[in-house]
Amino acid sequence: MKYWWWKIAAIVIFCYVLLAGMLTPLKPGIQSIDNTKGILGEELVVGVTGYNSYFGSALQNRAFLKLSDDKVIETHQITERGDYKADLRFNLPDHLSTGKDVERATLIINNEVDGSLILPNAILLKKEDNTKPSDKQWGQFNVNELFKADRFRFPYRNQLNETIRNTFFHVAIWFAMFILLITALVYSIRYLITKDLLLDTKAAAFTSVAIVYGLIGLATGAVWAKFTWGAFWTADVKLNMAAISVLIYMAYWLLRSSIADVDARGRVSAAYNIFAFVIMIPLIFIIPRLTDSLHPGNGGNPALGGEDLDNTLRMIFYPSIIALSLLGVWMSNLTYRYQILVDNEIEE
Amino acid sequence: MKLKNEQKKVDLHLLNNNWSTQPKLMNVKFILTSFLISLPWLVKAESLDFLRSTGKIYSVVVVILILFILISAYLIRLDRKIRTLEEKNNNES
Repeated sequence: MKYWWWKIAAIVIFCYVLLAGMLTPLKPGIQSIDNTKGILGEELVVGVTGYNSYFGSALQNRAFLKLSDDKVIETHQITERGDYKADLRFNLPDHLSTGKDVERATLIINNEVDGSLILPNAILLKKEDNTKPSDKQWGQFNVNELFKADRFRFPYRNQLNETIRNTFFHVAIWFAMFILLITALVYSIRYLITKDLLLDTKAAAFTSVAIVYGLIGLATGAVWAKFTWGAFWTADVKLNMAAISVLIYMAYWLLRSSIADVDARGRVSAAYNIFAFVIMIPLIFIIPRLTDSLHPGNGGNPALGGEDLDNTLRMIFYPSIIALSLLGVWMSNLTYRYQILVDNEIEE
Repeated sequence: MKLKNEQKKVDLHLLNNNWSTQPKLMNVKFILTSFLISLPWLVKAESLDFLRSTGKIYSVVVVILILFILISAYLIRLDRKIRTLEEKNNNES
């Protein structure tokens, strides 16, 4: 029990991640609308398709078009067609009162079951030359009147949809890879200080599992990109730099296998390991932040905050990092023990 | 000493009946290559539509599969290396 409790912990936590990560539903959201243009002074009819929504079951549906907090209009009629479809009718005012002719409005649907469903910049409001005068006016927006739903659910993001769950696997495996690489770095530095060959073997074992994690990170990222960006691989800085980092660590293995002398191999590969880690930090963390990148967390594109990683996601995401790191340590441990056996064999 | 040798013989016998060495169809290489060959088919347009259905949930399943398959591949490789070591030890004694 003393030695393997953390292996059991890794399995239990990963099972929790799989169950909670796959079974928790998403918050309701607006999947699509069939009309994106509204002409001022006329009636606007929008057919809405919801995701995980309860339009039909809810008793108090309300819908709003919002330009800003003090420029809001409410629907005068909502026709629900089941839980997922609804037709909204707005009587638009004849002016935008900002002096502009065109502006994008946010669509908000609210009911007591779903809470608020928001689609930003949903409808383009346009002023025509022959706009009819209307006595409808923009009104105030009172947030306190709206219903709130505080159930444990993952956030609904347009375009991401259910793939937001990939955060627990794709992002967590990169975090786990960094933990393994930092461990390998510490062992390499300790080897250079003490010249104890066991430490060099440990560093090599941790690096080999970290490379596998890096390959998983690249492959899962490619699949996620296919379903959100539309291509498996793009010439994005973050993607290319991550691939280069994995290649640099693969060169670590080529280097190790090309030197026969044990002490020379230990010294050279330990020094190379420190170099590889130091070069990886700017490649993955600094250069992508200096330019534009589609990947979240780079080039003014925030990640790990806001709606992309809210507190419900964190309750699965952090355990996932712990579980995958423990699994990685376990696999590194097996590799290390095997390598010790091989080395003893050669000595005999 | 005699007992030990007998023990090793039993081990060898078990090894020879192992799934990864015996039947050709259940070969790890066969499974992995057939998976790789079927990949282009899996990502064809029609199957992509299936993967996109119900809010792209099946793309999450693909991601979990990739994670599981690559970790298993690493463990299988390690398993085989350990087995060759064991076989070498058994043959020497």
